[in-house]
Amino acid sequence: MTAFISLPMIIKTLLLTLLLLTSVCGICAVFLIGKKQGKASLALLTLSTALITAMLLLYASVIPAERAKPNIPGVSRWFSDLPLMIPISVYVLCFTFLIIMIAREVKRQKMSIGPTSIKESLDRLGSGLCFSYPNGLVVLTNHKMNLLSDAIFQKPIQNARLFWDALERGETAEGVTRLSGGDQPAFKLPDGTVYSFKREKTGGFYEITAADVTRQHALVNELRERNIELEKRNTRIMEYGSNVDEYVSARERLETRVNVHGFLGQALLMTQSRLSGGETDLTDLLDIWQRNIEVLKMQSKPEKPADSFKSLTSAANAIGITVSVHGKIPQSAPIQKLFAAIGAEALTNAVRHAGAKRLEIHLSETDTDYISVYTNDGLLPPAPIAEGGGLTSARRKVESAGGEMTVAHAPRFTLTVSIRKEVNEDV
Amino acid sequence: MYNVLIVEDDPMARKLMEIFVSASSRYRLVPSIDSAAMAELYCMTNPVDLILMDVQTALDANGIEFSEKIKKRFPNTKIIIITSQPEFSYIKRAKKIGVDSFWYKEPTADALIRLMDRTMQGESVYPDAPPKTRLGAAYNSDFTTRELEVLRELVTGKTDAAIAETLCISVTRVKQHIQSLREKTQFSNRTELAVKARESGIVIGNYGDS
Repeated sequence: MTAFISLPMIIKTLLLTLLLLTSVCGICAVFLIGKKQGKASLALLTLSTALITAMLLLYASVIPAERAKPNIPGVSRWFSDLPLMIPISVYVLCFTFLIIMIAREVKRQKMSIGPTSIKESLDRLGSGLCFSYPNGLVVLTNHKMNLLSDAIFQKPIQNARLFWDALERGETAEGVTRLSGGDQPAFKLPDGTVYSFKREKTGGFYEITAADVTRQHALVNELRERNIELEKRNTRIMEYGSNVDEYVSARERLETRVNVHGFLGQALLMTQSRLSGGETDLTDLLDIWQRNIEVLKMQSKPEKPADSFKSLTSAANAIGITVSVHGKIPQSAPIQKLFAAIGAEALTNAVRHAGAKRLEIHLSETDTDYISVYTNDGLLPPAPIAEGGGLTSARRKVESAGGEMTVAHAPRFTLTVSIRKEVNEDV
Repeated sequence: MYNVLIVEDDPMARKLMEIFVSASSRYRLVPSIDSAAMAELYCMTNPVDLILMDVQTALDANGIEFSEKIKKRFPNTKIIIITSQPEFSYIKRAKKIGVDSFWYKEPTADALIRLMDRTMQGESVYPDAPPKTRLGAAYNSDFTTRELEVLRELVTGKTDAAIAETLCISVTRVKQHIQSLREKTQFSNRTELAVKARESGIVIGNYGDS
């Protein structure tokens, strides 16, 4: 087996260069990564480096000796005469160990979390992040947040508190639209993306986050448009519902008229039968004609619009109770109906609890309200009346119409109802 | 002879009933009124044995609601609810509050007098179901009770969320019921469904609020 001493000079130089490089790497590895890999690894790493360095020195000492022919140290002579297989094997072992140690260190560094890795990972985030002290001094901010600050205010974040104040005030650069303010201001950037900002206190720091809500914003907009359409549709249904009762009543009246015509036909047939010598009783026949005439008389009368107060007063008169209506009757039919309905409740109450024989209704209106005041001639209540039954029902009606109802017990029982004019269409 | 009070807001229908009732010697008419809101007061001041009570009366007074008050105060006064509206819950509600009998309007005197006679003899006469009424491609009998409840809220213009809250069910269930109603009736949208339903009288929104 060839020994080092017998190799050509060029090969010797190359081998020495290789040993030198490996030795330097080994020394660097010992100092930079040796401690991080544990004591055993450090010892092995030092040994490997020492062996390679020793090989380097031993071989190096042979070369100048060859040139000048001085006395070569015995150990150098002995080592350089060894078959190359032995130092090569030692070198390969040491070199392999060195490479393994370096690879382990690289892997360890990749897996470990340090300030750099934190910054790197934050910069890769799609959301903006900024941590600061309470006075606004920035501790850490990521690339995205700086980009957002640049897009919204055309400058990077210098002070987190001032940045947040500016977000709240919505003083943005041209082309940026503030979509919402408050605790979570949101902005639409010139590129169409939407970001929502939020600030929270965590420990002794403030954390400002910015989330991309472009998709959510689009969905909310779509939902809002659909809701507006739905609202319009529901309003149309409500408006229709307020008119349909009249339509249904008209249809019922029509059906009644059709029935009346049926009775008339029946009377004609019975008359024809009688005239033809039939056995129809004359009294019955006259009775039937009498009824038909009564109904026909009603049918010939033009239909009058419903008069709510008349309905109340005539029903009261029929049972010997007087209802007097004073003042200007509201033009609005729903208000008329409501005031008359409250009158019916008030009257029933007055008769039941106070033995009243008369109900006075005083109507008036201000610029903003329709007012109706109900009093009666019944006995005064000995004590304030606990609301129940009729009064509760009346209050429910009034309040569902957006109005107010007050009850006074002295000097006489007085019920006052007021309805605001602008809501009267909803009654 | 029994004193009969007619509560009906349509003058012609009222007149017809007066003619029907006055034809019988067993009944005496007291002056009719057009609003259920005045019926209790009438009973307080005059002896009334039987009330023929319409459901939708003047002053937006609901006949069933006021019947409940009258029955509490005058339990011996018989009440017959009279309506032409096929609203499915009328019968159930009338039974619940103790109304004696229920009658869907018919243009014959005999039917009404027979019903009045049976009621005054202590019978409680109710139809098995509301009259068969068409709604689009379906009849009222084709719908479930829950579907009809949803439909009643729908005709008032409520949103799905509001209907769900009123009926204590989920919004998803409301949507399912409306979809089922649309499939059965073949109406193209909910607006058409709501309008036609209200016109038919199968459901009457807010009928209990008056």
